[in-house]
Amino acid sequence: MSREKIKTFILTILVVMTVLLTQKVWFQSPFQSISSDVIGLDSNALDLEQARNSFVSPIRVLMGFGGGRSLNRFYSVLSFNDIKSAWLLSKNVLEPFFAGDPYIELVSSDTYYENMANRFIELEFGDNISSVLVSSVFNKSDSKIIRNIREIKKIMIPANNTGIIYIIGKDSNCFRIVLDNYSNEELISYINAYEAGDFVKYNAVFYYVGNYHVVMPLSINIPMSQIYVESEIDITNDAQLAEKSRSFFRNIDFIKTIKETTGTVVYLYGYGEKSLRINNRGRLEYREEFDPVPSTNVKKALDTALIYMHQQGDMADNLFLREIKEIEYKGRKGFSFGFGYHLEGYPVYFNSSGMSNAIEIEVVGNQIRGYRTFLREKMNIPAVTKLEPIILPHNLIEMIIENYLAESDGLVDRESVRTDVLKSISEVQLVYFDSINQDKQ
Amino acid sequence: MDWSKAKNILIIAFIVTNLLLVFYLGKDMYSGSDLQIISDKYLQDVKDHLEENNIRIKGSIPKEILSMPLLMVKYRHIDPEAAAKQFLGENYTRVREGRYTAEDKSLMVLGNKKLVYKNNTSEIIDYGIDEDEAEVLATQFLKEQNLYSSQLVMEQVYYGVVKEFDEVPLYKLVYHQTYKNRFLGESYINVYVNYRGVVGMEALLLTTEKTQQAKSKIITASDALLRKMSDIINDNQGEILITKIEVGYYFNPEEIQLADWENIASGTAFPSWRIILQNGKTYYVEALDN
Repeated sequence: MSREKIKTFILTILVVMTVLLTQKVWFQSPFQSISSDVIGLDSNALDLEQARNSFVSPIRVLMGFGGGRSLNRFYSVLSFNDIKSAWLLSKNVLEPFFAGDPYIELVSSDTYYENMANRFIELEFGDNISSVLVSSVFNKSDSKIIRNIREIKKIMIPANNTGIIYIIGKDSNCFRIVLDNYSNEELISYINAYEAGDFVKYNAVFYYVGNYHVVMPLSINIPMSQIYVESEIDITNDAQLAEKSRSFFRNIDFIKTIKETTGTVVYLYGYGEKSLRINNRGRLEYREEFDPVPSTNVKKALDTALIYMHQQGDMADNLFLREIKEIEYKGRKGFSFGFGYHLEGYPVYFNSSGMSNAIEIEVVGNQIRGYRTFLREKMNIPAVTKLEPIILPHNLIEMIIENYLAESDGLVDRESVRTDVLKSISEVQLVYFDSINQDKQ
Repeated sequence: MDWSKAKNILIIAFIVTNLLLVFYLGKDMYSGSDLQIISDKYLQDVKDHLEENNIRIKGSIPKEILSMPLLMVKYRHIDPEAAAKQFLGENYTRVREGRYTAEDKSLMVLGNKKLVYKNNTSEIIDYGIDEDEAEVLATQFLKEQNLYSSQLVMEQVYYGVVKEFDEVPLYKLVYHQTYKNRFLGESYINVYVNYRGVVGMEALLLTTEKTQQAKSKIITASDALLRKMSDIINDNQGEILITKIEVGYYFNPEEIQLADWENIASGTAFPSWRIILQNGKTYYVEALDN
């Protein structure tokens, strides 16, 4: 072999050695610094104010088209996509009320529901949504509304707005909010345009039992698809599980793993200071033990929750804030936020062992106490459009009445049962129900 | 361009680069912090501190500084019907799920993983049975039941009354599993032997699945002793004698109280130090240096 060929061979060996040794160095140093901060970064990547504003928004919007006291007046419950545009427009109308100095008085619920005879938009928020949060949408941390009304459940805006709106707050207290020298009729053209389109008409059919404000469709002429969903987390995918566990624990080298006979996987840090449990249906529960700092600021707590959801990669576009609850942990108050989600414009409901929200997150002080998710996504198969008509709600109500009568063995009067059932109905809504009747589908 | 000269320069450059890389990678292995040798003086200080708290150690404290990987383990699955046939013969009776009897014998299979066997026969084997004979009988019994393996090590023999198995004194032979000559807990076989032969057995066994590729440095035996010292003092009265301290693997979900252990199939066994006292009490200290 010539000398030059030997030199070429030696050089080749040296280059290969350099590559291999550099690889070893690279995986020891920079990779560690990249991976060690999986948790803790990314809050900068989230536009927190925008995220908060998108979640502090109505989860249901009822539109009324007037008709006086006519029994033929009708309403519409807006789809998820229409809610966004209605809210955008409503915010323009509402801003002066939250920014200004309105007159606030307590009124009866009858006064509130009298407005249902006219054209209006009613914005309904999740349960226990603080007025502080709604006000924050208008960049107001303090306002007369905040000082007088603790929670906002519904806001009714008459279309011919002459400076009056109504709010239903905590314990169903109704408030009239009056702003002098103000009028805004932006909603009129929006309602008119909506009325001219296709939508499912709702009617107030329980008025004769004194239940004036619940509306229900008597016919549904839109096609509804049966959708197939599966859990986002596949318990049989070890790589996905490992990746998921890394998002909760800084250093997975010290994480104990336990697999149950059902397929449930549990990850534990230390002796249980942090635990992550993922069951065979893809339901995830994370809990952390710590000494909490005092804080009762719901806005900061929501921010903490949203940042955390963003870090976990769970901030989907179709989520909405369904409820807020106050919690207590080691003598400190905190908040639990429950998020639901929409599919095809309709909210999805399910029941899974005491968990009714797709995401439930508990914040105490500035830390996450608990994080539970049961996230489902549409399967990659075509939706099936139901050819048979949807069972109408009044038929379902009749079935409820018949079942009750059958169980009471003829000991109660049919009409009194009907009256009781109709009076007790608080809402009728078209939704998707996830039956979760297979392992993960 | 003179390629020959260029090659010479490149060869020298890459040799220097590789030497630097080898040095960088190798320095951690030889740095003072990683190859910390525990001085005898430090060990003596630890011993003195323990003795001040009434704790004595039989022998010396291990000086080893090790790196060990995590170990994935699985409970050995027991088929109840097959186990009943094995221990009780063909003519057994199923009392209820996991409970079987045949003449004077009974078998419980808990969570498809834990075995409890009892033999209430009145037949006498040998009234004068001693410890060595008890061990022979126990080993023979385990071989007959396909439970004996080279990884099983007899840890201790207790002599006294264990009421669950007999009213009269018996030998309790405690076996533990090992993995690569290190203990594997919490897995055990306890065999109870007296003049009637093998009168009982309890078994909970693990199988090893795989080890994690990366090894992690573990704490020293002296650090483990110091960490566990207050628990040992609180649990024991008078003078305490530590008869053994060794490193191995430990998996015991019952301690974490996270889930019903019967539902647990597998998990991670962590490197742990095991401290055994003269009175039989055993303590585990997680050994990962986090």
